[in-house]
Parts: sequence; C-alpha cells; structure tokens
Amino acid sequence: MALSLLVPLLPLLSTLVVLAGDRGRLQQSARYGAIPLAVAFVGAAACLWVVATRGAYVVRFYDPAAIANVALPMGFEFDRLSTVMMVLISGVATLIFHYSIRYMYQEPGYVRFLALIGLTAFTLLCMVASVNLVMLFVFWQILSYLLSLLAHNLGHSPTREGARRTFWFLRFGDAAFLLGIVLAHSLYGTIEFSELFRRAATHLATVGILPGLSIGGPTAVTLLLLVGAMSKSAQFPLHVWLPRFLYAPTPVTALLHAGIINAAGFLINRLAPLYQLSPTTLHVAFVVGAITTFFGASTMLTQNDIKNTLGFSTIGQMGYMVMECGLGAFALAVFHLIAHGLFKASMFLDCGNVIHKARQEPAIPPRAFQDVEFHKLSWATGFFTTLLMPLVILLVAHGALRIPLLNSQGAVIFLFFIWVTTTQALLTLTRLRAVASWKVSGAMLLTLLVVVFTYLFAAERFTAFLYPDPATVEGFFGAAALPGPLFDLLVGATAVLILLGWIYVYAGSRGKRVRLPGFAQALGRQLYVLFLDHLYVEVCYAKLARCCARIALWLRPGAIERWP
Amino acid sequence: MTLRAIVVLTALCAVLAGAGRRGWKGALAVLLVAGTGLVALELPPARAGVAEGIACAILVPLFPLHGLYRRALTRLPAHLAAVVAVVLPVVGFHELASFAQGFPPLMARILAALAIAGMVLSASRAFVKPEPAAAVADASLAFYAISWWFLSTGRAPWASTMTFTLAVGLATCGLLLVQSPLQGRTGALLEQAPADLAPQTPRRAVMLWLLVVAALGLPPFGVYSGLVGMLLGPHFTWSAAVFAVAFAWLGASWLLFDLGQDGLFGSGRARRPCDLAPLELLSLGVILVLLLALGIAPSGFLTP
Repeated sequence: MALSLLVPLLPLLSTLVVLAGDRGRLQQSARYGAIPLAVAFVGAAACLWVVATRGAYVVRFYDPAAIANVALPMGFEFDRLSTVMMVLISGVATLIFHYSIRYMYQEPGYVRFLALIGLTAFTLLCMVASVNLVMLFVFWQILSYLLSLLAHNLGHSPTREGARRTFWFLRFGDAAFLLGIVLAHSLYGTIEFSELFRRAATHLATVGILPGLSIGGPTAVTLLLLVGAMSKSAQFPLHVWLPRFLYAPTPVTALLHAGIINAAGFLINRLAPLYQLSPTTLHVAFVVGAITTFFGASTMLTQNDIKNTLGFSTIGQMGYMVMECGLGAFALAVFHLIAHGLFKASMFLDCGNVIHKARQEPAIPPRAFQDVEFHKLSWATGFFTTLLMPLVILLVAHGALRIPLLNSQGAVIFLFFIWVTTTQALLTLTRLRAVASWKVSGAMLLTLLVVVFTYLFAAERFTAFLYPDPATVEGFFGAAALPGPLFDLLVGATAVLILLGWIYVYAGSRGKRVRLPGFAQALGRQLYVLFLDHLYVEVCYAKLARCCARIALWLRPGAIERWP
Repeated sequence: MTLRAIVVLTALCAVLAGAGRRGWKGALAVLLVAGTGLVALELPPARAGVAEGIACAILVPLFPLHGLYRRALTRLPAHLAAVVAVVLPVVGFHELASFAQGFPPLMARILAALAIAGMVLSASRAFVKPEPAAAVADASLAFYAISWWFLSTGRAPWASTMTFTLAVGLATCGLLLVQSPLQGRTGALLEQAPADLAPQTPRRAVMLWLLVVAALGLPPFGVYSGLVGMLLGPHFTWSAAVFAVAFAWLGASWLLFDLGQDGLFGSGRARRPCDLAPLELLSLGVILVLLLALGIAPSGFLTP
C-alpha cells in the first residue's frame, strides 16, 4: 500500500528530471521525464485493480484526533473514485507530455512548460486522492495558480491577459471553496470526509442568512463548494476565463479540457453524501448546468475558429456534467467526464493538423446542401429512427436492463440525453453523399445500437462499479427529484422542442425550408448575434470591474485604472 | 524597553531616509509611529493605554491609520521599507498581545468594524493598477486587517494570528527586497512594467515566483498556514464578516498575482536586466526558509 504513494509522487520526479536535465540536450531530458509519468499511469491502473478486488484503503500522515498542523493534514485515499480519476489523469498527462516533447521543442519556455505539466499532474493526482477537505483545498488552489502559469506564452500579450483572467476567476472559486470548508468545520467540527458526512446527516445545523431567515447547514456548505466547482468547471456565469485560455499552447489546452476542467464532477462525487442531504443545491446545480449547456452549445455553433468552437463545446459538456450531478446521476457524471476528457484531448491534439490541412485546401466554399441530390433512404431512416428512438430506448431499458424508468426522474432525463446525442450522430450520417444509401442506413442503425447500449449498459455497469450499493444510487436520485408536476411539464416541453427542432433540421437537410414567421426570423438573427458575442457576459464583467475601479480610485486616488 | 529601543531605531532610520527627496513622506510616517510610541512610554499608565493603542494601530496598520504604513513602504528606500515591513507589524503585534485579551466589548466591536473597513478598502485596490510597491503595501494592509479582525473578535488562537502576521511581514519584506536590486540598477523600470524578465533573470524570476506563491496564501508557506489556522481554530464561530475576510484574501491575491505576472511576463523590455547577486539570493532564500518553517510548524508553535 505504501507503494501506492508513488503514483501521485512520480510526476514530481518528471518535473525534477526536466529541470535538472542538460540544457544542451533538452529533448533527451524531456524524454527521460516522460518515463516517471508513464510509470505513474501503470501504477494507477494497478491501484485501481487492487481497490476493485480488495477494497479501498487510506494512508494518513497525521492523527485525525490530534492534528499538529491543521493547515497541512496530508493523507491519501485510494478508493474506486480516486483510482479511476488517477488512471485518467496519469494517462492523459503521459500522452500530453509525450506529445509536447516535439510539439513545444524550441519554444522559449520549453523547460518551464514541461516542468509545469509534471507539477500539474502531481497536483491533480494529489487532489483526487485527498483524504480530507483541507488537503483537497490545498491542491485545488495550487491547481488554480499552476493553470494560470501554464497559460503564459512568453512575449504574447493576449495570453498574458488570458492567464490573468484565468487566475482571477479561479481564485474567486477558491475563495468560495475556502468559505465552504470554514463553514463545514464551524458547523460540524471536522474536516475528515467520512466523519463530516456522518455528522452532517445526524446533526441538524442551520445558518442564518438574514434576521428570521436561515438555511440548512448542508445546503449552505454545498452551495459555497458548488461555486468553487463552478469556477473550475467553467459554469455560467463563471466561464469567461475559458475562451481566453485558448491562447495557451495546444497541449495545455488539451490537458485542461481532459483532466482539469472536470473538477466539478469529481468534487460533487467526492462529497456526494453531503450533496445528497441538500436537494436545494442539487436543483441549483441542475439549473446552472442546464443554462451552461444551452449557452455553451449555442455559442459553439456561432464560432468561426476551431479552438473557440472546441472551447465552447467543452463549456456545454461541462454544463451537461453538472446537470447530471444535479439530477443525482453522480456516477454518470464521472463516466461522462472520462469519455469527454479522452475525446476532447484527442480533438485538441489533432486540431493543429486540421488547421494545417484546411490551409492547403483551395478556398472554394463547399456547395450548399440544397444543390445536392439527397438519398431518400438515408433521410427516411434517419428521420424515423430519430422519432422512434425514445420508444426503442424505453423498451430496451425496461425489458433488457430492467431500469425502473417510471420511478426515476434521473433515468428519464438520461433517456433524453441518449436521444439527443444519438440523433446528432444520425443527422451527421444523413449528410453523407458519396456513400451508397443502404450503407448509410445500416451505419445509422448500427450507430443507434452502439450509442444506446453504450449509454445504458456501460453507464449502468459503471454506476454499479463506483457505487456498488444500489440503495446509495437510489438515494442520490431521490434527493435530486424535482416536484412531480414541474418535472412532467419539463419533460413535455423538452420533448416538443426536440421534436420540432429535429423536424426543422431534417427538413433543412432534405433541401426544404420550413417557413418561419417574420418575428421568429428576426429573433433568430438577434440570437445569433447575441451568442456570437457570448451573450455580452464579458462586457458586463468589464463594466462591473470599471465601476469597482472608480469606487476604489474615489476612496484612495493614485493608481492607473485597469479598465480604461 | 524592547518597544522603546525599536522605536528609537526606526526613528533614526527614518531620519536618515528623510534626507532623500522622495523619502520624506515615508520618514515622516515612521517618525510619527516612533513619536507616538515614545509618548506612550512616557505617559502615566492611565493614559498610556490609549497612546499605546494608537501606536499599535499604526505599527500593525489599521484603518484609518494605515496610510502611514503604506507611505512608509512606498516612499522609503526599498531596503529600509523592507525592514519596516517586517519589524513594525511584528513589534506592534507583540505589544498588542498584552492587552488584546481585555478589549471591552464596545472597543472590540469598533476595532472589528475598522478592520472590516480596512479589508474592503485595501482589497478593492485590486481593481486598479497600483505601482509595485503600493500593490505589495495594499495586499499586506488587507492581510493585517484580517489579523486585526481576528484579534479584536477573539475568534482565533493567538499563535495562529501571530504566525499569520509574522508571515505577512516576511513575505512583504521579501517582495520589496526582490524588486529593489532591479529598481536600483535600472531606475524606475518597474513602473514601466518590465518584461520577459523570467528568461533573462532566472534567479530573480524563481525568487519572485516563490515569494508571490508564499504571499498569495498558497501552501506550504506561513501566510496560508496562519490563515487556515485562524479560520479552522477551536475558537472560530461563523459570522457574515467572514465574507469580508474572504474578499480581503481574494483582493490581496489578485494584487499579488498581477505583481508577479508583471514582474515575470510583463510587456515592455528591460534594457539591461541584471540577475540577483549571490548575497541577495541568500537573503531572499532565508526569508523563504522562514516562511516555509512557519508554514509547516505545528499549529501551537508560537504559543507564548
């Protein structure tokens, strides 16, 4: 078990190898630096196997009953959640480090950059293996600082501005996180996870907000911690640092999108028993996640460069993940963050190639779909599969997997997720022109089966792996349940919206135009401009900051206004 | 006697510094502190308490008397300002400890309110761009206001508050020192945002980076340990004023991050950047070791 400690510590060795390496042979020392990271990945996989077969274990360097230094209580917890995260982080960090050895070669900050990647991997691994709230906060805030350092690209001023913005917003989240820990300790007198969950469940504590108005202790604590998670996972309206972060070198962006930005999903899962005690916070998380998803996905559609598109796609996906947590599907959020992390890392690492190839193509705009003859079979298969899909999923879920959809709100909304994502894939296939239509139709049906079974089966198995006790999972879903009529209304309205949306989209892909009233067209144009400008959130922040600056200058003159 | 000796010494330093044209305001500030301290020592006990309280509020800067400390840090020559930054607050805090236990409730409330005002005022400076020494001064003022709040409300163990105050003083001293050689060699360069100094002056870059990390309140240094020790101490009870503490911490972090960023990755170009000399490196190394020691020492290490 003591050997497990090497997993979080090995990336630190990578940093030291790079820093101590011969400056004349940078690439060689960088290659040596990748070895400890790769060993950490193997070690993390071994830890996962040990935990899955023999159970969780904890290594503490302090006595919880008498902590000598309350600010640095170090210990590592190896359970299913932490080891799964460790495998993901060490794996992605190894790949990105290896990729960067050549990609960043001859950059002015080559050594600094590789050393910081090792340090970030170390911080991330320690963070996910934290045994108490304070240690989690220690590495949480170090990560904020490292992230802003990684974003710096020497001599490039937009990168500097992006790094500053990143630190400002992440630090805001850190402050909320700190307040959450202080409140938790003040109410329950402990920083240990298991003890905190036990005391929060048994001890009815309240926090007064205004005279005569108070909220439950778990709600206050989890709301503050949620703000911390929102900043790290770029949730609306704390997302504004992420688009500017895209100026950072590509491998850093890949690491951010694959391993760091998922912090909210991890945090909520780590504190799941505490979140379970507060339906209010879960509902807030659901609303925040839903808004972020809508905002991220809509803004993504209006962007005109690949990195921004991927960045807003990540914001949307993170909203999705937080929304899953808000629905009580905690394990599913972890499944989502792993899948998204791997997918998005590969996308970012490949986007340089895409840009390179795009520059080599002749600058002729692609022909519009209206000019192209479409395949009726492909179109009909896509359209009817899209409409019939909920029924298929319902039958599969009820008959094959015996998931009680009618009793579980989270599962019903999960069905919507499957529906929307699968139809997106089908629509993409509908647009294929150069392939025989029967092949496209076959691919559609195959895609349907693969996606539905992956979602239902893999997610179900993963949930059982992460939370082996079904009562725990039911408890999460129960805590997150919305009031019945509201839920029915949401389901009905969303279903109608999705259907109308798909009819419009499929008609468009067939070359037909659905006639919209004038006000709807004008609204569409206005919305396009709004999302193109990111809903002017950044402008609002700038105005707020300028206002604060004026007050600060009025209180004590004698400085330059930062936002002239 | 300790207070008297230190007050006389700082007064002497101030007079020497006052010979310079730029430093007279800073020297005046330190002289005021010295004068108040001396008056406190000479007055009969009944009145000495008030004068000593005022002296302490200047030594450990408290709103509305904190302008003197700020002026001392920004106007005095950098090395003297660095000494002032660590000596005055520590001496003041040491003196405060003798009568902090017995604050009458009304006095405690007034002091807490002044501390909150100081936190908000100093932290709000993050929204403007002060010159480097002023940014360091504003950040430390926000931190000292936190110390005052905990001291007046009695919500933190004395040892944690002392750790925090001492660490803030050391970090402030280090940040002023790390900038002084560059300022001395290249004139008013820092006011023009020096740049890309990280690759050109690697030793200075590492020292500045570590000192900013320590001053920001990141682990494992003393500022972090002191703050968390106060917030998670056995006497702590939740109050809405904790939001002001968080705001002060946040504002100070923003100020210090910007300072570090300008120092390492700024936009202009230094004409003849010069790295730290070995002795300068050693002195900053000692400060960092002390900050680290404060950070990892057991919580009750400074208990009298």
